Amino acid sequence: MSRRFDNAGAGGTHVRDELSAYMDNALSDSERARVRAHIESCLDCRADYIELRATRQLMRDMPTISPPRAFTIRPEMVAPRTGFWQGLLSRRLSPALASGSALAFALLVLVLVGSYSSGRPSSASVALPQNFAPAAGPMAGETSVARNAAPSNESSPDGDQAALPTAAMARPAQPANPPAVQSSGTPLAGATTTAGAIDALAPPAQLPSKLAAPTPAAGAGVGASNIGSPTTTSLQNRPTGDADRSTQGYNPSENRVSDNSSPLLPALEMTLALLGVALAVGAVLARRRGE
Amino acid sequence: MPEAIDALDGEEEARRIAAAQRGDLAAFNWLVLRYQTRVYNLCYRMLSDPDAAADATQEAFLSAYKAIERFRGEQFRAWLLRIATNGCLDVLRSRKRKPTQSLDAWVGSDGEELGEPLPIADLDPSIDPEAQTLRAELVATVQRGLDTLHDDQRIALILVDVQGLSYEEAAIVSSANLGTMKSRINRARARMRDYLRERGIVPSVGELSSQGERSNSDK
Repeated sequence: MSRRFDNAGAGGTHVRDELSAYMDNALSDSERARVRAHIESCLDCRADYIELRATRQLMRDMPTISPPRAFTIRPEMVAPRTGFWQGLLSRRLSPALASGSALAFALLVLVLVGSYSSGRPSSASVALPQNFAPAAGPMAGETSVARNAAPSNESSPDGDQAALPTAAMARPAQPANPPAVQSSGTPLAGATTTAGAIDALAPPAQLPSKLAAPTPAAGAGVGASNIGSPTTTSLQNRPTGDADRSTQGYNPSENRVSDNSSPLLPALEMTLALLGVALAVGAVLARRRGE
Repeated sequence: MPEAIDALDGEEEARRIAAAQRGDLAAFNWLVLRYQTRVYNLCYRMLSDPDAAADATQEAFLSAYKAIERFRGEQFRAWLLRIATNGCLDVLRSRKRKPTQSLDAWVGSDGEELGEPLPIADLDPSIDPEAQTLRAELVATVQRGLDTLHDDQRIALILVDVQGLSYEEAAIVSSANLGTMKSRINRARARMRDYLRERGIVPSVGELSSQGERSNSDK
């Protein structure tokens, strides 16, 4: 704002910031006296004061509008909600619902990460097909399932046991998996209860430093299973990815372990996932509607 | 406004509030009738749209009814007005997110401002039509000035200047402290003054007294 007159010295510092409170009687006695003394001598602040008072008067003169109708509450406006879902999706609840379902979804992802980092190939092995495309790709195409191949697998029982600790050590490093990899794995797990859980533990293949080593083993395992049982193979293989196939057949003993513990889990997880997604979508819809 | 409170009224209101808190809808509706003009006018000045104001008013009373069990203390009016201003702020926010007809209706396609298409109910019918038109234009301009303010400042001015609340009560309505409310009022009035002065409605006193030599730098 421009200074219209520069004679602030006459009545002390300018009181522009106090003018509104002054005209509204919202100042203490001493402040009021100071402001009054100032505007009596400062033309600038007095001009401001006059203008602000005129402005206030214009707003005070704004007419009161008659309400177009009565806003009384009718009983049906506050009747108990007609249905559970309607209640769930009501505007009041939707923020709570949205955060609740977000939380549920986050928990679900955690559960998935937890169960798959110990029960499924990690991103390292999922990434394998790209690195191995020439080698593993064609073989995986024709092949191969773990359980049947297991007895004829090259690796000895001793080898499997030796591999166990390795796997255990490799796993903790894997929670860094991008969630996308995990969630894209979900349908697979739901579809193939056993195969999904079985094909997981392939310690050698999961360690990039050992990438070269598994290739022959994979070849052997693949070959063996081809001989063993072609029919089961193709059935179980269909839903799983190339990565799964290329890493199958290494650890029969572990496969059996996860076989026992996991048949229900994927179905449960699938249900939870669907529920979570449904809740989240519902909440978003409800929010949109509320706006 | 109609609900000016004397001691007897205050007791009566407290009784109705207590009854409403026990679920007495008729008692709550007594409160609605008492405050609906104030709430409607607050929403009207906030939203500058009669339909949106009616919706917001109804919504505010509904919310108040649902929340009245949790009401504590004796500042019922401030509590109610807070519910209403929060509702209006929601409406304004969603308007900003998806500007729709309700905003565009008052502004021509080229941004030219249209007159306020509102019934000015309290105009004195005895004054002549021309003066009435002038008055309506003046009111419309002031309303548009209010619309240019930041939300906080607009709420402050509507509560204190248009509705005549004290700084203290306005501060309660806005969940702000008194100092904040004072400076909001001061800044809001200064902005309104500038807006109205640019349109020649508030005379530029300084300009008059300085023979028009005021610099233009504050525009």
